[in-house]
Amino acid sequence: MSWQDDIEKIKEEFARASKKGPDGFSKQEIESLRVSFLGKKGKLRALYSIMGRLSVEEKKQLGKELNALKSGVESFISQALSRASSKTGLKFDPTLPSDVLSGRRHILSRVQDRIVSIFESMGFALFYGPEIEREYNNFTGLNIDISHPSRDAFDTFYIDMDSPDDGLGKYLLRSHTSPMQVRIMKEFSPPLAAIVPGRVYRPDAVDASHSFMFHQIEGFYVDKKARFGQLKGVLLEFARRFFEKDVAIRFRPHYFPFTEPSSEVDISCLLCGGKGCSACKQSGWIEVLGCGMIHPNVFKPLGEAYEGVRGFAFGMGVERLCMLKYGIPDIRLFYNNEIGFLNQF
Amino acid sequence: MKISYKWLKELSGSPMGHSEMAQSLTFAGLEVVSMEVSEGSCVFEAEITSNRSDWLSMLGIAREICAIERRPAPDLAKISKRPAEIKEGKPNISVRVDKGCCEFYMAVEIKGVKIAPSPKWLADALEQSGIRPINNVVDITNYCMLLFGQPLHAFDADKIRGGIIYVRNAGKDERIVALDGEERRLSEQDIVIADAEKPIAIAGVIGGENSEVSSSTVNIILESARFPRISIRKTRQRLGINTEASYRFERDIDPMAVELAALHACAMIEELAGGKAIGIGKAGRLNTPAPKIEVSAKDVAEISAIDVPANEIKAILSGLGFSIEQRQDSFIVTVPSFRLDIKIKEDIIEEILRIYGYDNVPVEYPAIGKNTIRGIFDKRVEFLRQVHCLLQKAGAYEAVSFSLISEKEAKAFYKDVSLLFVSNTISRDYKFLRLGPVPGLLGSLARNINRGYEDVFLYEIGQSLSKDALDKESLMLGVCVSSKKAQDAYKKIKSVIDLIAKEITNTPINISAQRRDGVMDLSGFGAAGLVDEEVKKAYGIKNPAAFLCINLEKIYDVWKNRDRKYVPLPAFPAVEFDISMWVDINKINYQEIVRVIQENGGGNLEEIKLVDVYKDKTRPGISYAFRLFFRNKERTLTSGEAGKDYGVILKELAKREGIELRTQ
Repeated sequence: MSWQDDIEKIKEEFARASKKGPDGFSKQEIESLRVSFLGKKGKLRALYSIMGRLSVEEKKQLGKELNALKSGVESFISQALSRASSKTGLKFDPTLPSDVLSGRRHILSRVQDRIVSIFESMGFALFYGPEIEREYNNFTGLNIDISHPSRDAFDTFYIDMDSPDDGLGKYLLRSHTSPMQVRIMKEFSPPLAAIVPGRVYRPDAVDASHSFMFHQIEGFYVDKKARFGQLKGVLLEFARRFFEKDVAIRFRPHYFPFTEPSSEVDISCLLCGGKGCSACKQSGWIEVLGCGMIHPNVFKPLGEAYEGVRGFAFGMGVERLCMLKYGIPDIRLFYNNEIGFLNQF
Repeated sequence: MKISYKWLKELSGSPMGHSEMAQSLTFAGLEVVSMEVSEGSCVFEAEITSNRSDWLSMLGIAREICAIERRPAPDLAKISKRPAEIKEGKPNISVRVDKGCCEFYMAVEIKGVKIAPSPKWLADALEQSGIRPINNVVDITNYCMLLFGQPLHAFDADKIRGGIIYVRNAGKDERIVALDGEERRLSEQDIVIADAEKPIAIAGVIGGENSEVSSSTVNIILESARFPRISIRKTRQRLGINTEASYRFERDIDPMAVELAALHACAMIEELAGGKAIGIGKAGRLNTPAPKIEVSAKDVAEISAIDVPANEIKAILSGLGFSIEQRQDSFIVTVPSFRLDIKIKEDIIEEILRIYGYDNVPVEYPAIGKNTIRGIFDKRVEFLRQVHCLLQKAGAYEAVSFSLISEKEAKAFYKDVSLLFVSNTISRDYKFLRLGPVPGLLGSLARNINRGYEDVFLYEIGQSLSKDALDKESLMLGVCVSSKKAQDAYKKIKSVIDLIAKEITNTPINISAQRRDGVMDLSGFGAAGLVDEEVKKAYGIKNPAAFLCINLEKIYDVWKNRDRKYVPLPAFPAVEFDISMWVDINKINYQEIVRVIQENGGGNLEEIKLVDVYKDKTRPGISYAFRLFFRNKERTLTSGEAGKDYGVILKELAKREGIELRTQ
């Protein structure tokens, strides 16, 4: 038999051995395949040993054939090996949970931030203010007559503390974020646009829909040409962005001492889309905020810079918007801080 | 307030069905919150805004309907009745009013009434308005109140002593048994209606039992008056009685309706109860201002962005009962006596707009941002965002807890620190103003532990409501952790401290030795420690817990002033040395050891890294292993050079009590 026949024979044997393709081998089978062809006593090795007896020309030819055969077998084995190892098991479970820490912001903060950022993108500047306020900023400066029943809506916690004799009245926990209108306007000249989130306090007993402490966001814009149509535009834009739906809004006349004209704003019910359901008490609409054109009496004490200006203002409850958007049934869930609740949002 | 649809339809002459009418009223600002429809009747439940005292009368609401339908307001001359003939000024009873007690008082003496149940239509009208029928005379006074908004009161004339009605301030501790059967103790601020001997009614609030109209009453005195609203409000609040009368008086009543309502009631009593009005006594004088306000279509457009046609403006205002005089480009509007809420041009504009329809105002967008203030608080906002971020990085959940705490919590947590408190608290649980979020967080910790959560890691950022933080926002960060092991709880607190040092202050935060109460001070930025047993007991916390509070204003000051510049990256290799030692933590701690190394490491010491902490149960102390990195910025450092610094460090460490070096 010539070495040419041997080569052909080995080729055939390999073709037979590898017939099932690189997918069909276990690691053990691959190893025995390797030993039988490439091992020290393997089939290819045997051919190398006859090399010395051949002519230079034949040596060259055999070398070439052998190398081609060897690399064919090697590449088959490495292919089979990689398939086999992917089948026999991984070094680790890639689906195990990571030990990443799970801190989160409170849903009220997130919603508050979202609301603020919508208004910021419209050009409103963000402000914060103190929760301990004075009667003047909370009431008088906002055209709220302390002796009038309209004040009942702004029932207030008073703080047991002497107040300086500066005409600003007693200390209290602010009952709305509107006092920041007074503070900001005292400090800055128009035109101005501000958005103020924060905690507010009213002596209400705590139940599923009331809390003596809640969060409000006040926004206002003061300029010579501010008008009601613009207020509608700003709030429509807000509602569509916040509720991520093409909600309809409607303006219903209302009364607030610090705006004239005043309005409440309803959005089309998020659940039924306006057809009427239990969430909207069959009306198809849900009240979300109060607003209006800033009452001239609010500008009056502010001096020259505020002569001839107009403005609009709006205020909304963060808890209420949050409950609407996420279907949260009880306001107390916000303040209980149970991990199970905090984890949901 | 309950409104009878039938009555309203009659008064306004409107063709609208009940649903349409409810909808129209809602969009005029008189919100009909619900409707009760039953056979042959419909009652609206409406929310009356506090500015609209005129909506506390059927006539006032009828005017809304007229304006909505662009028809003139109902004609009072046609609606109101008068008794046939009364001799004015000659009653058997005289009226006397003390200064400040009543603007105008009118007493009509009616003789020979026959008390009986009211006819059905009258009883129905009252019932549909939410008022219980009593007898014909009392029902007529209530009916006229509902119609005109003017509260009336009927006294039994034969129970009044001395032939006098005297409106005066109550005496100190004067007492009266009111119509509800309860005795009320009055103060000198309250106003009473009295006879020669005793008070017979609390003015504007409630009548007295001693002068009540009963089934045997024959002669009556009918009262119609205008009392000062602030005083009525105070009395009502102090005595805790809320009546239909006080509700109207404290919102103020139409001065023109005082007489109209009284005369209308007289006529009805003559007609339905068979009496005869024989005389009227009056005191005081009504002030009936009729301010004029100029308004133009241009004014309306400037405020609202809509052009309301002149004829619409006219129709709306006359429907609401305003009288209008047309000028070249404007209207002079005379405000009627029943619209005490209308004072300025903007008020008139609102009237026009709300009836014309807010929904007709076009949507447009303001050009905010050109010259408006912006960026004032950008830095602070960015700071707060970073603080939130690092807490989430540490793995903490943000909580929102009440800023008012109970006395028990205040005592347990703040010990002797004096806190502000609210004087009109609604519950003992919410009385004291917190100085930071930790007390509230402890409550949330307890709740979570009780719910079976083992590892709880909460934080909150909130205002310090202290005397020292008035007129500005003073923010505090609170962190509370509970875990099965105290060390694990504290470790989380420490992770927050380390993150603050790394990301906010940019310098290490020094943890000072424990104070007597186990609390540690943090470079004056705040405090941290394990929650002590007493506090835990007060909150019902069973597991080990740790807390941290940081004055954010203080670290904000550091953060906003920090100056960060690029530092060239190292160009030469570092030389490393290891040190390990046994440490007695009762004598020296990590922070102290690092300081010793730093102080003695020389200029080339770049970094000190803790690489191992190990405790051998067979011997006391804890093993700390450090790796030190020495590097020179200008050249390659030889290990010989670095070794010298290293040698100094070892020598210094060896001197310290509590350290036993393992290296050498």
